[in-house]
Amino acid sequence: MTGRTPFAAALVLAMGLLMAGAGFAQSLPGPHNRPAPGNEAQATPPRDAGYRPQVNYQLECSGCHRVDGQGSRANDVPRMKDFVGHFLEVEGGREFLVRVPGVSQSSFTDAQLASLMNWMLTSHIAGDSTPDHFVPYTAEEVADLRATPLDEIDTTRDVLLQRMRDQQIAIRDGLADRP
Amino acid sequence: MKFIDRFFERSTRHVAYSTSRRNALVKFGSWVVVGTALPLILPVDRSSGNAHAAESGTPGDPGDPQSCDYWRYCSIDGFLCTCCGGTINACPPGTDVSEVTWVGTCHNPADGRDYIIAYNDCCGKQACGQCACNRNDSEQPLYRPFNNNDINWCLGAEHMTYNCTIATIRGVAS
Repeated sequence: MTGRTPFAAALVLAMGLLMAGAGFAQSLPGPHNRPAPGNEAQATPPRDAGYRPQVNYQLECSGCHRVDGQGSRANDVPRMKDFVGHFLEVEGGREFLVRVPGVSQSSFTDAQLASLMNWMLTSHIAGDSTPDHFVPYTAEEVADLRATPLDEIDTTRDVLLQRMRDQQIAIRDGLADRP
Repeated sequence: MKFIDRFFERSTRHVAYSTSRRNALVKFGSWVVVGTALPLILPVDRSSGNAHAAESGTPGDPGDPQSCDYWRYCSIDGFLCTCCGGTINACPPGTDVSEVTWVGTCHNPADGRDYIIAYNDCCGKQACGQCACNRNDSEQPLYRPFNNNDINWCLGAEHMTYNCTIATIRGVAS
């Protein structure tokens, strides 16, 4: 028994140290933390905040398509910069741009989405790729398109890209070497 | 006059007999040492402003970026890179910033405006484990992935191991 007492004591000590370590790793905010002034309540959701289209782009698009629309090759996010407007030049492209999941399933109202699309296609993101005869989207048109989401996204996209190639439009979507 | 003469002679001789020059030097020396060291021993505020960081920060960007209460962290979920060798805008050495991320909004108490905040993850080293912080003010459910902070946004980085999270300002939300 005398030999076991130091062992038991060491065990208790070790467990105490382990629990102390767990105490340091606690997740904050703790009971003593207070949010910065003005952040006590939930933020207004983007849909209800009434932000400008470029702010809405930042909040629900730019995380993956990135601020300037470069996209992310490593994540298979297509490049929109100086390219996305070419979809308007092929049959089915105008509809495709609203029916893709990121657009049709965003939190925005039909009117907000129409403004967002019109801003994106006439801003630095689309650049010169948008044709001069571009007719802005309306809320009603967006509502109809959102109601029929895409089933085969990649297949539809490939068809549209082929139609661009047929019109001698260079495919600069950043995904050329995609497997 | 003779009396005064004798008084000073005796008292001087008494001092000379009862003290030594070496002892006097030792005592003088120790006072010099103590005197030099005194400013170091006295209780001086050496925090040089750190103690007030929680109240001030930089003008227009108030608060302590190493605290879960800092305003830009209103929707963060992860370890604060400011506690992990990085800054509020930059990943720690040896990690890469995720290209994709999610974006929320936070209220800046300095000017009363809402700002667009990007919560990029830093990737490529094991979880930092310091300053875990989880606030969800502008987060939305997982079925809106672009507004969700439960996702490991290192999923598209070269190394998918999550290390910590930064909080950069993308602009004013208005």
